[in-house]
Amino acid sequence: MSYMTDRKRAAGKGSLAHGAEHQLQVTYSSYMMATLVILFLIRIAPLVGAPYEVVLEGLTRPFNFVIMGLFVVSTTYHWRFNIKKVFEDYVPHGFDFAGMIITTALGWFFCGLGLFALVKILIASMIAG
Amino acid sequence: MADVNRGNRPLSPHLQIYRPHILMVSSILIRITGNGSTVGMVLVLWWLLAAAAGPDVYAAHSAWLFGWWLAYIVWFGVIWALWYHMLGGIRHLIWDEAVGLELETAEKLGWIIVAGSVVGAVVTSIILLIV
Repeated sequence: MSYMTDRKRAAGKGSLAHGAEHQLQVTYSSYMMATLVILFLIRIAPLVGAPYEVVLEGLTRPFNFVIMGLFVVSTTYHWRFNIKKVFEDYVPHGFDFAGMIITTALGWFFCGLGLFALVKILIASMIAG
Repeated sequence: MADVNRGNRPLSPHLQIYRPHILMVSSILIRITGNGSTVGMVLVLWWLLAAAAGPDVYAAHSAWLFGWWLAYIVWFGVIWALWYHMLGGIRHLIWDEAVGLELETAEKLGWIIVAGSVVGAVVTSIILLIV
């Protein structure tokens, strides 16, 4: 029998040492996402699947362009929280760390792809006049 | 009490032992729709990249993304998941302020996000089909 007290056993494990910060990050991100999803549904969603010229014209309007840029950044950021939870809850220790390395890289990769596409669309619309 | 019998105690009851109720189901659905929205994220990125690649590529990929029956089903699912995850997330933001935690109110919120997401997805889909 050991002599470890409850106090000693609990110390440092309250929120796995980083839970409070994670909670706040997800909360801030959630407020941003709730706002952006509504704006996306109103401004961008009608363009998804529209003819090429309509997409070009619609996306390069200043407000829509900024909304879509923010949506790309915010979504890929928020996505990582969701996938992190999956690794934490369903994947054995050890693999979850490797999984988060891949997830983080993939999140930034998606973010880069989206922003690249947006800039390319802007240039195409400028060339088209 | 600190050192009594740790490790071989019975586990607490888990999913398979409870009759499903609205708080449990609505919570599980948040996680499913959140991760399912990965499909939506990839599809929107696909659409964006196709548009960036020029009119010919865009036309070819549009046929895959929007031009057949499966696309309609997938996009409806994506829209519903987006609505559900957003409403469920807003519910959590409300709960974070320690509001609406009474059992009756919480269960009501659960039904509101289930019904609200279906109504939202149907209305959004109809509007997008018309526009």
